[in-house]
This record gives sequence, C-alpha cells and structure tokens, in this order.
Amino acid sequence: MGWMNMFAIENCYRIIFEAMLEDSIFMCIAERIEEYTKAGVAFAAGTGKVLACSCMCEKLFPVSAGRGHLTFEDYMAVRDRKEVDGSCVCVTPVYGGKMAIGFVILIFEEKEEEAAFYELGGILAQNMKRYFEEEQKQYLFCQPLKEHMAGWVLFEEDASGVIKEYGFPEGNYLVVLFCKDCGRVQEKMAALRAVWNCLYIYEKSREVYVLLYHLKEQDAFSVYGAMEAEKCGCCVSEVFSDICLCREKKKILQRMARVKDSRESAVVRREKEWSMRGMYTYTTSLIEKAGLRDYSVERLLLEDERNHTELYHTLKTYLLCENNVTAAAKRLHIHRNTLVYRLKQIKECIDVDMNDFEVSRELLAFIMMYDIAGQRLRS
Amino acid sequence: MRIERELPEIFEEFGEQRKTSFLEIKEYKDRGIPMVGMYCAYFPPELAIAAGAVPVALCSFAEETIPAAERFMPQSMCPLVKSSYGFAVEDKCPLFHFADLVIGETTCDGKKKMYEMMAEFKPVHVMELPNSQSERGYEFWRGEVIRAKEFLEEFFHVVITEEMIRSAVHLNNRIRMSLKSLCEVMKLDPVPVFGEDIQKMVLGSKYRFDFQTTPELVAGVREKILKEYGQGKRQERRVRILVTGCPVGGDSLKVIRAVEENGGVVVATENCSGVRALSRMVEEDTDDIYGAIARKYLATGCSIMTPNDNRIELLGEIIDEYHVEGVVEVILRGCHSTGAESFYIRKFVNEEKRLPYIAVDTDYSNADSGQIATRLTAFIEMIQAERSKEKQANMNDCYRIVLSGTNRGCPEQEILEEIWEYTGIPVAEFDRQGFPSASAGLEFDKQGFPVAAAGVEFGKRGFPDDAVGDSRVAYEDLVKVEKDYPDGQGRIAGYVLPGKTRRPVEQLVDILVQNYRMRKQFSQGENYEQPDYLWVVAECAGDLERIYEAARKDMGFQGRPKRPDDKRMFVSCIRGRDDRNRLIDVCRECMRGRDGHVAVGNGFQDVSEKEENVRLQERVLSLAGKMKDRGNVWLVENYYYELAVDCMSEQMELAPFYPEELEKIGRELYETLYWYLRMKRNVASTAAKMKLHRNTLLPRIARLNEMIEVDEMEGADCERILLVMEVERRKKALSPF
Repeated sequence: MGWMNMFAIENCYRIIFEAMLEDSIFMCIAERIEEYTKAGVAFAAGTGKVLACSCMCEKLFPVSAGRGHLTFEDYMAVRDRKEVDGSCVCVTPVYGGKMAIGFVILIFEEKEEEAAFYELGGILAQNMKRYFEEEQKQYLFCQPLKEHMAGWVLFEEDASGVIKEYGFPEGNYLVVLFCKDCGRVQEKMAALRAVWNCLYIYEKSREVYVLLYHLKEQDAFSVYGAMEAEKCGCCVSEVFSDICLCREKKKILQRMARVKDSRESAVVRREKEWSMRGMYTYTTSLIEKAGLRDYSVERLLLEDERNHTELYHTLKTYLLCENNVTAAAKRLHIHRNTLVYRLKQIKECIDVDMNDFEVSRELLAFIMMYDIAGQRLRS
Repeated sequence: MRIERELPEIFEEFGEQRKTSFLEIKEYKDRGIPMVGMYCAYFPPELAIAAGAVPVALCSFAEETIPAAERFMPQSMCPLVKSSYGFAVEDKCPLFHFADLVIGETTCDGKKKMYEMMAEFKPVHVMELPNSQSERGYEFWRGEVIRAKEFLEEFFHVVITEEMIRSAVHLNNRIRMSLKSLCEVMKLDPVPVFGEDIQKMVLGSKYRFDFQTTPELVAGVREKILKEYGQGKRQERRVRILVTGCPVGGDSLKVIRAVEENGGVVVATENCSGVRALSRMVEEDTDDIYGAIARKYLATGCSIMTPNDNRIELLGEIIDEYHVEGVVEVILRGCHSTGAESFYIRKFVNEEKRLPYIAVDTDYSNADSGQIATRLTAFIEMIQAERSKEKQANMNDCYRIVLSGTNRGCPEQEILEEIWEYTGIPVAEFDRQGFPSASAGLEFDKQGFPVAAAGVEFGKRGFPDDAVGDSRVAYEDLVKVEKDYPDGQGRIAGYVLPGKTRRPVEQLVDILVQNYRMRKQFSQGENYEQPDYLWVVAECAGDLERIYEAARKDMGFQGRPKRPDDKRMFVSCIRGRDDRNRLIDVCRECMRGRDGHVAVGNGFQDVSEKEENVRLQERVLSLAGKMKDRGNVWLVENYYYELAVDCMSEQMELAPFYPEELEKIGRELYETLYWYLRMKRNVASTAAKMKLHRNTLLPRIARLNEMIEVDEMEGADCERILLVMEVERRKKALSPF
C-alpha cells in the first residue's frame, strides 16, 4: 500500500527510543517525527500546556506555541478535530487513571494516511505516558481539559470575547487563592467544596486559584466563615459580578499572598483588609535593596523584644485605626486606658508625635513597608 | 653605729618591732620594771622614763578589734578609738596587759569617753588638755604636766628629781633628733627609699625599749641610706606626696602603700606620729624644765586644737623643705575635727602653696583600698601630667595628637600643624618628587624649597622657655632631620631650631613615620568604614562641602563623613539615632539662610545596599522638591509615604486595586473624599485644609455618606482607599496627559 512506503512504524520506535536518551524528550521526538513523517507533531498536557511543538505546528498555531499554552481558539479546533488550513488533525488522548493527562496532536495533509497516523498517535501516547504522568505530578488537581481551559481563559486571558461561546455561568463570583507553599491545599479545597461546589480550579505551579460561581451575597459570608472556621490560610476576594475581573482579582490576591506575616499565616486574607498590604508589596525593593530603615521603629522593636511587649503591633493597629483610640482598643481587645498607657510608652520610645497628621502618615507607610519586606531585618 | 645588715631587712625588723616587743615586755615586767601605757602624742614620755618606768605606745591601729569595741561604743566613732578600746577590752594587746597604768588626755570626745570606760578595768590617769594653744592654755597644761609627774611619783612610789627628768628629756631629744634626721633623707630628689620604710622606722622605734641605743641605731641606718644613695642606689623619679591628717599606722598604712604602689612616694607625714612630732625638741637649757616639756607637747598640731594655726605653719614648712608636689590628707571616718579642718588645709594647700590636694576619707578596713588606689592613681597621674607639661613637650603627647588626629580622619596637614603648635618643631612631609605635601611652621618659596621657619608664640600653650616670639629663623640656621617612608612614597622631615636639642626632633620624626604606616594600614582596611552607613545628598555640591567640614569638626558627632563626591556624601560609623540627629543638627546649622536643599538618609547596615540607598535618597530629594516646603534639610522619614506611592505608581496596575467606592462617587466629590480621608475623617481639619467653610463641607460629606457610608468604614479601609487615590494622583502627575 502507498502509505507503507512513506514511513515505517518500526522506524518511529527507533526515533522514540533514541529520543528518550535526550534531555528534552518531548521537543526531540516532535522534531524528529516531523522530519521523518512530514507531519506536524505537538504534545499538550492535560492542563492545556503545550509541552512541545514541531515547526509545522508552530506555523499553524502560532499563538498557542508562543504562549506555551493552548489558546481557547486552538483548543476548540483541536477538540472538534477540524481541518486546519486544509490539513487533517489527529488527536490521541493519553489516559492516566480516569482522565486524559495529555494529548498527542498530529497534523498531516493526506486524508488517506489517517489510519497510519492514528496508529502512530497510539504508539506515541503509549510510549510517552510515563512522561505525561510526570508532567501531571506537578499538579494537585486532575480535571478535564475543558475545565483547565476555562480556568486558564478566565485567569490568564481577556475572557470577554469567549464568555458566550464557552457558556460560563452567570451571577456573582468569588476568587480564592491557595498557596502551595503553605501546604494542605487539597484539605483546604475539600473544606471549600463542602461549602460551595460550583467552582473552577486553575492551578499554577505555586498557587491554586478557585473561582466560585452562582454565589449570592450571603453565600459569600458562609464561605468566609467556613474558611475561617477551618483555619484555611488563603486569600479571598470580595464578591464581584463581572467574570472578566478574574484576571485582576488574581493580581490582587497574588500581591496579598506575597505579604509575609508570621503572625497571621493561617488567616483568611480578605481583599478588603489585605489589598492595601498587597499594594505595599510593590515597595519591597525600598527596604530589601535600598536598605530603608528607621531608627525609631527599630528601637520600638528592640524594646518589644527586650520586654516582651507588643508596642509595635499596638502602634500599627492604632495607626490603621486612623489614630482612633476607641477603635484601636477594640481591635486589640484591650482596655482603652491600657492603650493610652501603651501609646505614652510608644511616644517616649520613638520620640516623635504619632498624632500629628503628617507624622502618622509617614509612620504608617513605613510600618506597612517594613511589615511586608522587613522579615529579613527582623531575623 | 655601723649597720652591717641590708636596709630592707632593717626596715622589716622595725616594722616587726611591735610584735617582738610583746616578748620583750614580759622580760621587763619580770625584772620588776613598771610600764606606763600611752596613746596620744600629747603625753610626755619623759615623765615615765624619769619615773623609772617604760613608756609604751598602746595598740590602736588594727581593724580586728573594732567589732569587739562596737559592742560598747557607737559605730560612728573613729576607728582609732574603737580599735584602742577593742584591744583593751578584749585584752588582745600584751602591751596593755602588762601596763601598770594608762595615761590619757582629754583630747577628742571619743578618747575622753574611752578613758572613762577603760578606768573600769585599768588604772587610768587623765591629763586635762586645754582646747587652745594660747598662753593661758600653756599655763594650764604646765600645771597638768606637773600633776601627772606627781601622780606617777605617788603611783610608783618614786621621786622624780630634776636630774632624772632632765636626763630623760635629753634622751628623748636624741631619739627624736635621730628620727628627724632619718626622715630628712626624704628631702633628696629622687628619694633614696620609700616613705613606708621610714614610717616603719618611726613607728617601730616606739617599741624599742632599749632607748639608749635607739639614736645610734637610727643614725646608722641614716648613714647607710645616704652612703648607698651616693653609690647611686636610689628610687626613680616619683611624685612627691605629703601625707597629713590623722595618724597613720598599722592597717591605715594602706594609704601610704596606695601612693607608693602607684607612682608616688610619701616624702613626709604631717601628723602626730610623723615629722610633726619630731620637728620640735624640748628645750633643755632652761630653768623651768616642766614648762619646756609642756610647751613642746602642747605644740603638737592636732586638729582638736582651736585655732590650729600651728598645724598650718608646720605644713607650710614641710611642703617647702621636702619639695612636696601633692598633699594627701587622711581623714579617719568619724574624726570630725580633722574632717572639718580639711577645709582649711585644702584652702591653704591649693591657694597658698598652689599644690593639688586630695582628702581620703577612710577607716581601718580593707574594703576601700581599691577605691583609694584608683583615686590616688588619678591624683598622681594628674600631677605627673602637670609636671610634664611644665618641663618640655612630652613625646607621649605627640603620640596622642597623632593618634587622635588619625582616628578622626584629619588630613596630614592638620596633624602636622597641631604637632608644630604643641612642640614648636617645624615639620614637613615631602612627596616622592621632593615637593612638600604638608608642612607646619615652615615657609616655602615658589619652587617648594623651605626658606625659613616661622616663629611661634608658645606662651599660651605653657612653654614660656621655648618662646621664640614672632621672629623668623632662616633656613640655614635649621638642622634637618629626615626619614624616608618605608614604602618610598615620600619622606618626613623635622627641623631643629637653633639652641634646641636634636633628640626630640628625631623622636618626632620617628612617630610621624610610624603614623604614616598606620594610616596606610587604615586605608587598606576599606577606609575604616563601619556601620551604620548613611548618605547625605544635596542639590548643590558646595553645601555638602560645608556640612562635611562642620561634621568633621563637631566633636560630639561620632560618625565619619567622607569627602563629598559631587552631590553625595557618605558617612560611616553612625551609632544610632542620636548620632544621626546630631548630623541633622549640623546640616540644619550649615543650611541656615541658604537656598539649596539637602536630604539626610537613613542609617543602614549592609554595605551592599550602598548604591541603592543613595538612589533612594536622591529620589527623596526629587520628591521633596515637588512638595510643599519643609525647611531645607529633608529627612527620609518625612517621605516614606511619598516613596511608597512613588514605588507603587511606577510598577503597579491600578485597575485591580481600584475600589468600587471610588467608582461610585465620581469626580466631583473625589477631592473632598481625598482630603477627608487624609485628615482622618476630621471635619475641622479637612475644612481648614481645603480652605472651605465647615458648612460647605458638611453637605458634601453627607452625600459621601449616602453613597459609600464613609463614616461607617473601618480605618484600614479608609487607608486603603486613600492609598489608591494617592497612587492614582501620582500616576496622573506622571503621565503626560
């Protein structure tokens, strides 16, 4: 038969075997197979990440190749196995467990060679399963490509164009961010699912974003409450109604997560309270690189360390309460007079009048910056 | 008498005399010779000797018996009295034990009472001592001397004849004379022996009961001392100290020891057991021998006398005769009369004799010996320093000048000038080509050759002898002493002025060469920078130059400014907030009434942050320039907020953080909300800031409340919105539109 002359499957085994000795195995196989069979080869992970892409595929899907991730359009094309520029597409899923953990995409010109390429796809999928599995290990959550794509589109792309096409749910939304560094993500996720099960998960190498949908205002409170009750350290956005805001919420939450605070690591960080600190993460270079320091504040910290007091925290809270003694005392759970006494001590120690409008403004700014970047100095 | 033994041995023997006397006295006692115990220098031992008894000075100088005495006496009494009584009541003093009789005098209050108490277990005869050395007092005392004589006659059943008393007087005068001449060896400068040794001799002689041989023995010791002194055996030059005040002996010898262990020497003691008691003889060539005795003993200058002019007189004589350089007064704790009199002594010593004076208030315990040593060391060092200043420029001071100058980071020129001003030695440093790079006290021609040494006025620095007035000395008359730097990068030269010696110039040149090496080492050690570091940046380089000069001269400022590099000045060795505040004060002082601006940075520890930090300070300078005036010294702590906002607006996208509250209110109320939040929701301050009437402002705030419930918000929320607004404003200011 004609196609048998074009390439021999046995040779493909050799190519795969030889490529396995190389470092970047996906790329190696894609290029060599393309060279041999004249068909475009691409590998996509179960999350939609493009693992390797031969020259021909790069030409056909330039955006996806460039970004290293399947775009929504390309995803649709591949899913529907449409013809792309007159070429046939053959997609072979790689199954691990119950879900596809990757896809082998072959693009060829001659319709009649379809059967051969399906066989080739099968061989590649079978032999490279180990590598796909390894790739999958980086992710905590295993979900269909469709869901991955939805997360990716929402959190990485300008989603406004594809909302209708994809059919995202309407209503109010909430974004939760779990840091993988903090651990217990699956546990936290389970706690979240127990409260609300309408969600998309978008997982990145270090953090997991969860979009809750179909929410009502009061549902949000039950989510907050549940997370707090479970002591799930996470960042939670406010409720919002425009799904296109996901990307921006992600940025806030990212910044909020970057705030290092040993005292409150297991706390639910709500956007309302923490976004200011998030903004201050942009100033870390001032303290970390340029060595911005303040003798007065340092003295206060030293005093705290020596006497096991909480003057620094008291001052911070007082300034955050706009120098309102009543509010600050309430927040600190101390009596008003205790606070007044502590403020007197603080004033003696730092030797500036923190009740002055200008001074308190600068002092708060420094404390916020210091809080966020000053971990190094404190240790 | 020829003294065969070594001097230290003899001194030691005399020191131990009191102990050996304990054994000796038993012998005397067994031979049936009576003993008369005495305490004070007012009692004439002649009387006892004439009565055929042995006068023994009773123990009174030890700490050990004080606790016993304190069972009977108040603690506040002087240790001498307590010790004496303690020995008596405890029966610890064999001399007291064997004494048939104790003669006391009504001297100070403590002693008067002590004799009363002692009379309970020992026969005591108390002589009434007048309080004043007046003629009437003398008449009275003469009567008392006779009464004592009669008492002794009756007590011992003897008759004291005129001959007996005269021979006793003669013997005692000989002993006194010999001891006085012994003491006078201390007039030599430098001294032949230590004062403590002399003191041991004087005190020990009282316990030698073989009175007849004592004068010869003492004279022999004196001869030996003088002979050895002639052979060159002498002490090094020490500060000559006179010890005065309360009697010193036994445990209170610690004061003398403290002086002599710390660079001083006690050349004389002015008290009842020292030179004072020996300085006056009993007149022998008189008809009224008892009158002569009374006169001699009443003249004892104890502080219980009022007035005590006699003591001042004696003190003056001793100071002059013994070339005393400093006076140490020993005041036994509880001896009120000496304590009170120290006022006159200090006045006399300081004002009349122009000598330093120090009072040591002590007792017999050892507890304060460290403290006394410290005080006396300082006292002696002060005298030494004073003395060296008077003599000639001390090379140690040159070290001090050079070292402190280098540590302050002074340039070589300044150090040389200071050296020249101090020593009057012209000095110059030449570079490799032979051109002078720094010099002091020299004039140069245009080619860089020295032509003359400038005169210097030394008077104010205290070298009247060295004053050469304002006269110039021609170069030909100078003798050059020069030395190359070890690395060959130049040399240092000193010049010997006419009529001066070469030695100090050579020493000085050596010091300066050493200093060059030291500076080299310092500069290798990264310019001896130490944390914390700090930057000062300015708009104008000239301002920094002024601040640099001022900061360097400010002695209270510990930091080390480096010479400004254009518009930046680096300062190291900042020690915390106080140092920085001092620098800020210096900056303010320098910038007063000037147009430019400077920014003072924060102290930082990590030198790797140096470059970033200076950029930060320059950012402060530029930020502050755009803001309302806050004087012309800007401090980084007043711009934290601006810095933060600046940082954020450069990097961050505002959109994600934009609060919905702001979207709700629109442009119109934006300004109001901004100021309202910035003034911490204080209506009065906001109105003042916006230059609005309160009544205009209130409706706006009411509307804000309708829209976003601004008054219900939490403080942190307000700060968040305010921060976003600040960033937004900053972004707008940055964007060209």
